[in-house]
Amino acid sequence: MKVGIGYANETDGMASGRKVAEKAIRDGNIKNPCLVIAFAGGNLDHFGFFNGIKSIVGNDVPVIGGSAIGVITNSELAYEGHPSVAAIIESDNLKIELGVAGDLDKNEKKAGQWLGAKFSGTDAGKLLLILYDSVKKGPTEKGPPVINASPPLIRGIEEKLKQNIPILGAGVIGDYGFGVTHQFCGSYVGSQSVVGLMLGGDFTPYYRVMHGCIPKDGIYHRVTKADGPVIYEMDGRPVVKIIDEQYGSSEWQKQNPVNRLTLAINHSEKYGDFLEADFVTRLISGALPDEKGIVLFEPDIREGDEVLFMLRNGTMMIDSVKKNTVELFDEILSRGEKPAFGLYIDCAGRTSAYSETLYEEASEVQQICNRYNVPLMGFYSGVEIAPVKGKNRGLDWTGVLLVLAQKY
Amino acid sequence: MVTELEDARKEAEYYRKIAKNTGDQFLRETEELSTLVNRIRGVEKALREGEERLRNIIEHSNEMFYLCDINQKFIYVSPKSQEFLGFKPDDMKSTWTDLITDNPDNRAGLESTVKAIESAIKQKPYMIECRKKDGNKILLEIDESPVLDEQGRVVAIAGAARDVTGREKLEADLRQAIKMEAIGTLAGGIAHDFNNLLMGIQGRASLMLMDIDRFHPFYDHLKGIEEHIQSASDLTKQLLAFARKGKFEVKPVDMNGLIRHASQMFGRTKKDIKINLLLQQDLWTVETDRSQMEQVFLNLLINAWHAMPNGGEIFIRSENRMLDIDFTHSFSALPGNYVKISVSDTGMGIDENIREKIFDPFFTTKEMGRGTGLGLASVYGIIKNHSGIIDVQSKRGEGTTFDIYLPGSNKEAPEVKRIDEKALQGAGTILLVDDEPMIINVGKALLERLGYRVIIAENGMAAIELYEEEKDRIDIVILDIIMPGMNGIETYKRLKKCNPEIKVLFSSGYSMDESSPEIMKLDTNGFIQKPYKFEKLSQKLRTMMGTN
Repeated sequence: MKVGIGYANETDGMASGRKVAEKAIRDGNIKNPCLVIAFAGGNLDHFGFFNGIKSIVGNDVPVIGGSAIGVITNSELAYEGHPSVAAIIESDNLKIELGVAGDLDKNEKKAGQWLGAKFSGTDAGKLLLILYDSVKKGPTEKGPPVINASPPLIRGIEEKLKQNIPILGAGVIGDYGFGVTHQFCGSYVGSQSVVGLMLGGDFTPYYRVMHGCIPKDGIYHRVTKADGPVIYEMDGRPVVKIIDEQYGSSEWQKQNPVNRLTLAINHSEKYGDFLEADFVTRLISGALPDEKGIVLFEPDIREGDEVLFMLRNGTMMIDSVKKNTVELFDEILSRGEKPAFGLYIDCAGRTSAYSETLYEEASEVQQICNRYNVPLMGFYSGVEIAPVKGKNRGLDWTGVLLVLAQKY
Repeated sequence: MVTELEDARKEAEYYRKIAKNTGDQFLRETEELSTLVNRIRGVEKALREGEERLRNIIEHSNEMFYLCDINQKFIYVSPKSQEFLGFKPDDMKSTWTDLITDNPDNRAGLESTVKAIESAIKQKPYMIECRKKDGNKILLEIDESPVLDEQGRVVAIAGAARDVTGREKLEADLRQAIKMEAIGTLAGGIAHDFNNLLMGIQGRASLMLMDIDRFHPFYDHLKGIEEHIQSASDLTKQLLAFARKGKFEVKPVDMNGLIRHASQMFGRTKKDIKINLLLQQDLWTVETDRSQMEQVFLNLLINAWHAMPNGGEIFIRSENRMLDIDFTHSFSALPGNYVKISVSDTGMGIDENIREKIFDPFFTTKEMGRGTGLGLASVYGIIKNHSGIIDVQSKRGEGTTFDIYLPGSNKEAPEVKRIDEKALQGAGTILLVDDEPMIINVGKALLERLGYRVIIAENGMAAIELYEEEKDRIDIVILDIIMPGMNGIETYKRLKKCNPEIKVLFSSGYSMDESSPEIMKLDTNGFIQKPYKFEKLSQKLRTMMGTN
């Protein structure tokens, strides 16, 4: 497997597309590309960018990907201006199957089922990579943005698949304002779509989920009133009041999403040791304008669930990235395999600009990939998809590092 | 058991409260920290933007900025270094010493930097000549200031370098123009008086020749005198041209036709020189004095001929050019449409050290008696007088090219008619106005010999009085321009009031010069330059009388 990475930060979409493709081909010494994975900053002309790539690689090579708040390569990390990136892959023994489903905003589960059905005849896949539109509806005066929910989408896909395989991917997002996003659907540019790439062949997928939250106080709260992504009460009290007390003021209500505080469900022993990998965290998108409830990024916390308030912690986030990335590469090498390509799906909230860290946590991934000469492409996403405790889940405030490795 | 359970409940509640308070406190502290970090980020962003603005200013400035340590080694050089010196900032030489030429003037500059370091006082700007990466030279004006630490010690030198290569040329051009102006004024004055003297001699010779035939023993001597007067007159013409006091018959001229005519005339006598013409079709016309322009090309051809003692080739090229301000600025000319004429030779070329003197009057490299040193000076004066540009490129042994740019015109050039000159008898009354008794005497005699009745006035006031008295009888007034008291222009205006139909022939040793540019705008009947020949005067008068 040969992979080349190209980066650009230019205002012209077509020129950016051409540039990233040309650079990637040169970087990877690519002769016969079989797949392009590409991402473009929200304010770049996606159609021009897509056509620019196609003009270099030809119409027969599928291009998947979509909008991103920022992009990451071995040497670049950008979420300002008009960043864009492309990874071009050449391989004789990589089996690629592509599927696309639309109307995500109408019904996530049906879209998932539709996509899963496209791969129902496949039983040799090792990994399903999905990229979908995160934004169902942008923010309005009446409330925070509404996002396409990952749990029903994943369940829909899983229902139709023959095999239990890891699903990794992202809900893509182009800007912090939750504007319209686009997806590169192989041969066209779509919106409200989910793109699936079933990967099989002579490689092994390795992945890790990077976290960065710790329990605020370890106190469990029961959700006593909720509706979809909105939680109204916990322990029989208005949740907004509870959070006001924690902050000592209501200033946090101005934040969209809330900066420091998240909610999580612990999937391991209730009073056991804290294991970050067993916690599924949910960002709080914001408070309802009438202060009657809070809106979560995903609608999967329901009445009766026990949740903990979590604190986002920059130091822990960076430590987590370092530890998990090192462990991932150690695992690959210990199995006598060679890492060939790294894909880092990183929550847009983890940028240093958004998490008030002094440096970028993704730079840890860059350093380690560079140490092993592994081509790296990353992008900043809205939601990350990866298995936690053996179950495919939509995640918030995480980084998911996927490395494709091959035998020497 | 109940007590133990109660204790355990209380203990759990105790730890729960502690955990909650600690968590809340931690949340508040991190929130404060977050606010603080955001504020720092805001400051960093402002700093970055400030740096960006500063970088934009530095990178888009016409100056090269730099910082040197106290050993005069560059610490920072702005990207302008690439344009000025051909080196990218990262590839720059380490000190000015590595960049300067062996020009001895550079030493003063380097000493100035040392002084600034030693005295901690800003020194005056200085010039240094540097060698660019491609070998060419560049002249830089350096303005340096010492950078001081808190104790007032010099820790660095901050400098700005400005490319003044062009400015030096502009200043040199200006100096040349001022010098030319001064010499021109002097030369013009001499030429004026000299022409008056020549007029007297010419007149006397003409009168004598009228009374003798070609077999008379003095005939050849008198003809010889006329030829010398002609040579002397040509000399004053060159002087007047240089002094920019000779443009008097401006008409649209077809420069290609003029070049062809001048090169044919010249080529007929110089068989060892091959003249090649590369003339653009549809060349714009030039509003110029045709005879002066002929003088320009004749002088340039002679100059080229002198540069090729063993023969050679001359190339004359004409083309239309639109000149922008970047080009015209250094010549103090206006941008616009120009006709460019280049005269190149394959001769010995001009040494760099004398190139700036070649337009000086009386400067010649020719042996005594072969050149007056007025040829190129008059070319310079004529071109400048036509708001044109003249530039020279030459290298020793590689020939010389004179580039002339003259403002182009859309007006059509009238057909050129060449008239044979012969003396024509006339009749009528002429009022001759001149302050020079010599001109009055000769002029009166000449006019009477031509058949005219002559009334004399020695100044403007006398002319007006006489004209008012005898205006019905006076057919033409011959009026000198330069006179003490009331000059020719003022006199003309007064006469014109007296009779709007008055016919006036202006006469001057200066031509229609800068001292009386108003004449060009006046509705006059004609002009004749002293010294004039008997024949030319007779033809002018006949034309004015309407009997030619």
